[in-house]
Amino acid sequence: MSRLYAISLVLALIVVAIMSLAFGAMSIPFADVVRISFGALGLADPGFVEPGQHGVLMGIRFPRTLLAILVGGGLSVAGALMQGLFRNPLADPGLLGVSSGAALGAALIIVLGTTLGLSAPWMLPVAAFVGAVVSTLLVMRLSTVGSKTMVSNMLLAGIAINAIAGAGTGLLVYLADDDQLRDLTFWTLGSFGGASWADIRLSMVLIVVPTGFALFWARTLNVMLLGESAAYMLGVSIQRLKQRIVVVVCIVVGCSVALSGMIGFVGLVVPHLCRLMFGPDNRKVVPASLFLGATLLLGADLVSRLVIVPSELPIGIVTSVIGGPFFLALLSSSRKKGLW
Amino acid sequence: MLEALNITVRIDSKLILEQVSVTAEAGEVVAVCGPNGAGKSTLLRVLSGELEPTSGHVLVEGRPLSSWAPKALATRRALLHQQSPLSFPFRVREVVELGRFPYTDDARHDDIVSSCLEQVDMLSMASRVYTTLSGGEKQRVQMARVLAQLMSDDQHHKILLLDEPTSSLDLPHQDATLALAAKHAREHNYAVLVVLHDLNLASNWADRLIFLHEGRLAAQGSPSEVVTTEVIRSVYKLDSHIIEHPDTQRPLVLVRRSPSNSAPEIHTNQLQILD
Repeated sequence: MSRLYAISLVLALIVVAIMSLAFGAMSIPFADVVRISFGALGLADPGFVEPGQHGVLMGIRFPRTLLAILVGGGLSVAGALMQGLFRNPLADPGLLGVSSGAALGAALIIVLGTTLGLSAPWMLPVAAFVGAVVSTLLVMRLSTVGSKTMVSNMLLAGIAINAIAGAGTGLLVYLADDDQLRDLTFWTLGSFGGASWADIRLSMVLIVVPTGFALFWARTLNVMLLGESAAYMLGVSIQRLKQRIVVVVCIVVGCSVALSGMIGFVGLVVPHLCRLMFGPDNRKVVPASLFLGATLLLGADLVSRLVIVPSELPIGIVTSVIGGPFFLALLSSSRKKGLW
Repeated sequence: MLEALNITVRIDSKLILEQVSVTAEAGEVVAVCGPNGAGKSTLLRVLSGELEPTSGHVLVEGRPLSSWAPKALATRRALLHQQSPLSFPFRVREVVELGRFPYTDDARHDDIVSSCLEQVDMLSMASRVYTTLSGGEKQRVQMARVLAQLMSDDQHHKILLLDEPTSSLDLPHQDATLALAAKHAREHNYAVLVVLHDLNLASNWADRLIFLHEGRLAAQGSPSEVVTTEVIRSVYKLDSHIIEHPDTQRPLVLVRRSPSNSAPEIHTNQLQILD
């Protein structure tokens, strides 16, 4: 059963990725998508390529598709890490203040950027990333007594930092004019619209590398579910693991938010869906989250591009509209089986 | 073997343990008894290395605990907690497999896990979901996990620390759990240190008993030396009769029913309902 699920996860990602490359305001036949892709990779002679198709595919759709895959996979693995750390299936990266800190950084640039002379296009993602890192460091610092970080304190510190960052963002919203307000609102709903190859190169470092490390921690995360004390008895260096998890979550989520805005729900729901499919073993949940998260976010992006062509729906709306009811349905069916 | 020398634990300004020294030799079962809040669990946390004592030393194989690498220590000592917060729906077998975390060679894991489940009489429930088990069944699964943690071919001395391992168990499984711990002491030379509230269980299965009272060592010795009316009165403020177990000749404790500590009254009509 779980092998079947695993194969379908990989196949689903491939299918959705090809659809994402083919569909949009300008449709490109599947055969041409494959031909141009193989040509770009140097695996085959693409033959004649229509320049318009080539431009759309290589300049717009490829980076966009890759970014959705990386962000979806990264956010989902970050969610699985948080749920392991907090031993709670309801934990998500937002608990560390990552998203609210990023939002404050972004709001600062959107609203005050021109006034402060910080309006260059690269300022927005940088400010969002810095906001994410600063708020996570604060949460970590506030919840560490001596050399021990208390997970329960982390939760409380996260709530406080979220509230403070939220107040700052609120103040900026109050100061914003109508255009800025619109920009800010759209930013918080997320979009892969502006994805470029530069974004992909950055994500390789800030999403792929830390996520790759996290894949090796699955067995340790399982042991953490027995409780910190029992995990210590089994030889886990608890404090080091906590610090590593927080660093990875902060960098991955910070980079995702900086490049694509706030995309809620994925980090919370995807690991949960994987647990319903594969059981609670993180050796399956973490890699499955990577694939399912990538597929779902890519699918959501595809929907957001197709429903109101040639315009686009913010992706945050799509993830919530599709994810919410789907999640509820799965929960009610698994509750009947007594699994939660 | 496990040695603790002059352990003092102070949390804020409260003295939890004061100058407690205990040892557990290889092949020996030591029971730690005493009233609630006497410091038994704290002592176990110190002995396991989880809690750093305010002063004093813990030595494992003659080396201070702090000098052990976490993984190396994990192959030599295991602790069964009173409760486990595990709330994810793992299968019973998977929970016991978590005990194999310190070992990387995968070849014998399955056999070891099965053997440990068998020892706690849970093999038939190996594929049940842990979170759906009763409290006592969970406790036995955790016991199997702890046994799986120590089971290996290396010739190291193993230390098994058990914090009230029988608190949710029925009568036969209480006895079986202690028998299992004693068997590992006899056959595999484990040093076993077990916190117990049931003095009769302790007296029947332990080679030595340690009584803690208000953070201090109140008495220690063989069951016949320390399970006495005097010790029980001084530690628990309770009057008792001591009789001999007909099979083992170990002391048994009966709480006195004198006017000084009178029994709760049971009405006869309640007894009829129970009938």
